Amino acid sequence: MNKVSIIIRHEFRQKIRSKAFIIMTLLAPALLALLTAIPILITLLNVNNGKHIVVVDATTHLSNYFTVDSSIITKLGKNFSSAEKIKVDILSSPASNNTTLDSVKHLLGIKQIDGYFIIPEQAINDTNAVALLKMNNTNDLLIEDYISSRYGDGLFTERMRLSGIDANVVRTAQHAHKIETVKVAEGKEARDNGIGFAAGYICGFFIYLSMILYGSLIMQSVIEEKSTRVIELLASSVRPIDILIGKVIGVGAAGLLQVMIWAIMFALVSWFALPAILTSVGTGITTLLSPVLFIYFILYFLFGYLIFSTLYAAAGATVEQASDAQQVTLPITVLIIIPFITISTVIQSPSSTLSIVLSLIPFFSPILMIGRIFSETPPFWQILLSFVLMGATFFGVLWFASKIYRTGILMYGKKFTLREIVRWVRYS
Amino acid sequence: MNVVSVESVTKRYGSALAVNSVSFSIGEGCIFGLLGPNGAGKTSTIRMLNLITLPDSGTIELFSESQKPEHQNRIGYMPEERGLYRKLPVREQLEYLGALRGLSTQQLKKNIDYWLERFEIENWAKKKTGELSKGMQQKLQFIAALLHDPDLYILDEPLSGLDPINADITDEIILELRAKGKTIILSTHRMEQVEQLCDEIALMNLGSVVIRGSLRDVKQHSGKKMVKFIFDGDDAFVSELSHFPVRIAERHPNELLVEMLPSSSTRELLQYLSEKTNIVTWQTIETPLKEIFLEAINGNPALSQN
Repeated sequence: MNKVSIIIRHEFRQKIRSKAFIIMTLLAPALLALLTAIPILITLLNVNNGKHIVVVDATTHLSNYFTVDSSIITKLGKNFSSAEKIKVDILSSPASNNTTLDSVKHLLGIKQIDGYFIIPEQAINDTNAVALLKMNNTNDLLIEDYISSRYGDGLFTERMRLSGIDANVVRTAQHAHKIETVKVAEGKEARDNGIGFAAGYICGFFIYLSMILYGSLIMQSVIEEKSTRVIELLASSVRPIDILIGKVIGVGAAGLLQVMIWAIMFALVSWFALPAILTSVGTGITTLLSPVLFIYFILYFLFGYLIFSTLYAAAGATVEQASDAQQVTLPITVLIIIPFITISTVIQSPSSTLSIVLSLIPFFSPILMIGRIFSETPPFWQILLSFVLMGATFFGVLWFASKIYRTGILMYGKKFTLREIVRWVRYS
Repeated sequence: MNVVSVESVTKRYGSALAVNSVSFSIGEGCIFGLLGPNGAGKTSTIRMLNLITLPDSGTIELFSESQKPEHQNRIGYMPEERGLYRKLPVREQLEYLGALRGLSTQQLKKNIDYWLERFEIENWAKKKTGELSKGMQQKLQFIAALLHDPDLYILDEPLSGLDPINADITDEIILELRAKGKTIILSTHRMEQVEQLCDEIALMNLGSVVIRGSLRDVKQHSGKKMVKFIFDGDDAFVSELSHFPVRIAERHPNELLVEMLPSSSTRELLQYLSEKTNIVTWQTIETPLKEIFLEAINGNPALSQN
């Protein structure tokens, strides 16, 4: 047992001191932060050059509808901050007035304004009348949406008024339906906003990535020991299964440390910078920060890591170069990819029989069960059962892998087919 | 006391018979030469002694007990295929390998200092192993076998890659270890090293031990009469020797080793040779090990087909 701990310590120290590990640990959250910050930065930059539109209203009745109102922009589903700088000047003048048109055209030409909007005289009476929006940049959907919505609203109200109907009555009648989506988790209610789906998907994706990443890390380390032949010396000092266990636990501890560092960084960021975001997305995100979910996440991460890194270690023992590893890792990769492909289906209908069965298959549980837990907490017995199955699978995999590992590390000089490798398990 | 006792050990890899009912024993303070051509089963035997693999049948006793994992701490192993972590600094490399042999941190530091100094690579302690020359890595590999002061040393080709000075240091250390009562298994193709160092030998071929015993006994048992000539000048005469009742064992540009067959006379041969060439020196010698081995191996019909 003592020798296992020496190997664990060695592997752990080697991993956390490697440049790749340090860069990964620091860079990944920075990258994530950058990805979050970019849209905000772009918005901030946009605000600086506000938009200036001139509305030429030949009907002289629609002017009032074009005053900039933030609530209208919010209703359009746009970010208010970027709309703050829309400036609209209204000229109530008949379209025949060529001087007005010429000067507006001139202003657009010298980029004094960003566009102008001409409302024809007959707009209210003639439903076929065409208004004209001329802009420097026709890709600016915000302005187009804003102008179109204001113009439509103005026409609607004015036409109603001409027919003697109160437009507000019609509006109220139209808007009188609202639906609120509520997620029920552990007896508590929380507004969902689709955050559960996203979080389940992200967590599943993270576990998927880490299983492949840490798995291939272990595989490379096994291949390195084999190709440098240092394994001969190790095997003369320690039982092969102890080397295997020491490696898996040592690298796993480094991986866990990495995840913990990320979690702490995330917690700190949410502590200081998140209140603003919290208010905008609501209570959904606080559910996600609950310690219970975090513990589940760590447990599924660990079980997934244990099962797959052990398999990858065995795969590494059967080859001499990383480039030869593809053939033997294929069956393992398939076991990881299947849950990754099915995760969105499972999260969308977490309680369907298919979802329950798939998420209980121990090779799939680390990705699928965590997805289900975030989108709709499954019955506790299913979670417990998945842990029992994963635990049993890990010991089965360890038994299987240690046989392959023990034989593989001493075999040189040829590529082995899967059939031969299976024979090692049977005869050793 | 027998440090190693191997009894009818057999090991198969699939259908290939790597070691076939091998038996030998090695006493304390003995340098034991485990010899044989490539593929004879030496490495397979060594792996079983090291508890890397287990015999299919037969028994191995170490230190008069049945083999058990704890014995690994009392064995120092220098594998034929050298292997060290390339990216690990020298000292850390030794610390890790030493710790795996059950050495305490304090003892480790002391022993590493001693051996790095002895091999004059103490200035390289912080360098990455991969940056060291091949010869230095070789020394490091040897230190890894010596570090934990084991009782049994298994050294597979310890001299390969070493210059004559370091080869001498290695031989010196091997003799030192024997003087301390340690047991050494030496596997090598260098017959002159075997003749200089080994007390006992076993020759393996095709998985079996063909010759076994003390170096003295093996040599005397051969009972051949060999004569070595060193001459100066043209060696064309050698091909004309065929009418003499002698067998040419070794032929070099200025040296000739012949086995005198029962009916031949040294005097006649000398007389003949002195007419043909200028003999610098000659002597009758013991049969060299190489000669004995070649005969033992080539006498085996299976191998002579190759």
